[in-house]
Amino acid sequence: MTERDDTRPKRDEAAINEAQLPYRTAVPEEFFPLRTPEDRGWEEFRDQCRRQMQRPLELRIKYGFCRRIKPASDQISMRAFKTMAEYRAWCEENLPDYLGFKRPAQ
Amino acid sequence: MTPSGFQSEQAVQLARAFDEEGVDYLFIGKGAAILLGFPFVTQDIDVFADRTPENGRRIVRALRKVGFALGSDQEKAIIAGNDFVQIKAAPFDLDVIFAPDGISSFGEAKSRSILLEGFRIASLRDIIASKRASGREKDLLDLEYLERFRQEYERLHAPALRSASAIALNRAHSKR
Repeated sequence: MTERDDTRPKRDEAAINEAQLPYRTAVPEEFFPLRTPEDRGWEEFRDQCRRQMQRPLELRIKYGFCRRIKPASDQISMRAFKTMAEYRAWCEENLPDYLGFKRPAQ
Repeated sequence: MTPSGFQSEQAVQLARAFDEEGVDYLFIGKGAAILLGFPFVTQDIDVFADRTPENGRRIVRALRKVGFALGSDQEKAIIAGNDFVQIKAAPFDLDVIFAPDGISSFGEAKSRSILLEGFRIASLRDIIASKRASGREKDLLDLEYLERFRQEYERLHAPALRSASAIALNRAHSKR
C-alpha cells in the first residue's frame, strides 16, 4: 500500500468553480501587485462581460440596442448591393469618416 | 414611421416569424454578440441567411409578418439573394446578408451556431472572422474587445463533449 502524497498543493475548489460563485467586483490588489493599468482595464471589461452574461436576454437587448440618426445611410428606406465589394465601396464613398466604415489604410 | 431601436418584443417576434416560416438564418455581427452578452451597444440587427430563392421568399413572408412594409424592389433583392440588403423601413433597421466577409459557407456557420432562447446566433468565432475580414475601422476597433469577450464566453460556456456520431449528424443536418 502506498502512502498518499500530501505534499501536493491542495486544489482550490472555489477558484476552479469561479463561474458559479457570486459575482465579485475585483481581485484584491495584493494578489497581483505588478498589474499594469491596461491589465486592470481588461479585468474591468471582463467583469462587465460577466455581469452582462448574467443578465437575462431581455435586458441584454434593452441595453444593447440604441438607434441614432446616421447621415446618408438613413436617407432612403432600402438599398441592395449584388456584392459585398459594391456595398463597401458605397460606404467608403458616401458615409462620413467618423462613422468608421472606411478601411484604415485609406 | 421612424424606426426605433430594436426592442426585446420585436426580437422575439422576429425570431418566431423566422421559425414559423422555416427561414434558414443566423444572427450575426455585433448585435448577435450582444445577444450572447457582449457589453456593447449597436443600432441594427444583421441576419446572415442561406442564399436560395425559397429561403428568400420565406424571409420576405417573415419580415412582412413582423411589420416590414417591403416593396417589390426589396422583395426582388432578397429573393435574388443580393449579397447585402439594407432595410431601413420600420419597425427597426435590419441588414440581410447572404455573403458576409470571412465566412465561406452558410451550412458550416450554421453547424457552429448557438441556439439561445429561440434565437439562432452565429458562433463568436464566426462573428469575429467576419469583422476581421471586413477590415473597416469600426470593426477593427471592436475586435480586441470581441476576442476578450469570446475567451470569457467560452470559459463560462465550455461545450459538452460530443460523440463522433453526434458531430456527423449535426454536419449532415447543416448541409441539408
